[in-house]
Amino acid sequence: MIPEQDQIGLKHINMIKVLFFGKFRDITGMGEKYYNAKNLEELFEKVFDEFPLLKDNRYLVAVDGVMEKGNKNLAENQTVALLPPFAGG
Amino acid sequence: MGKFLTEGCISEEIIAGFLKEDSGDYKDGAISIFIGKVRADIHEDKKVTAIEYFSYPEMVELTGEKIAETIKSSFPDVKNVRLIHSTGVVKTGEASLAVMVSAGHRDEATRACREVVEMIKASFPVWKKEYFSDSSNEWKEV
Repeated sequence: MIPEQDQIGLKHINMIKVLFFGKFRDITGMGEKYYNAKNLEELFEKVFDEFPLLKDNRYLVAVDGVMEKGNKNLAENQTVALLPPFAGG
Repeated sequence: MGKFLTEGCISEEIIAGFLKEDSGDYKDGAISIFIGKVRADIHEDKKVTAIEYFSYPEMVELTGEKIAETIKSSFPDVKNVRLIHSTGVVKTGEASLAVMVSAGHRDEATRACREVVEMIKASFPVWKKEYFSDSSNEWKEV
């Protein structure tokens, strides 16, 4: 992955921790992975590009433990969780 | 493990501990309890023998606190809200969820307890894998 560069060559790195839960851990083979992304849309483009089988599933998104819908800008070191539909009780 | 999760089944000691809690002023005249158990469902001739629960612990803590706050603001008569969910393996017949609500009167205690269970079903970040009598297993989706 090559971080984007501005006109004077500075690299923009915005590392986001992505957590996988439930069956998504089976699909990805891991519990977490770091991606360089500035918002949720860009992040999931990268995640789904790497793990296309995830796209076949319903999922929810939480940023730092709070549910999110739609796109959202991300700050360095935020945690994004990709969650299968809840099945507690 | 946090306030809202326990490893394995919900023990009798945990439930007894809930019952011993009181508001201190003895204005709680009613306690409503819900216990959720692992059911021996049958899927294509295979019987469920256990469920393994997985959670997102940090989000469970946030969600559990939010549920308790929401219930207390929605039901002014409620004095105390406690809830705990299993993580890890729970066998059929064992408890995997316990909710206790105390209130001044039975009507609010009963309705608030039911509401807590519905909120857990809708918003608690927990997932489960069913284990069957033929040693197979699969993720349970709702």
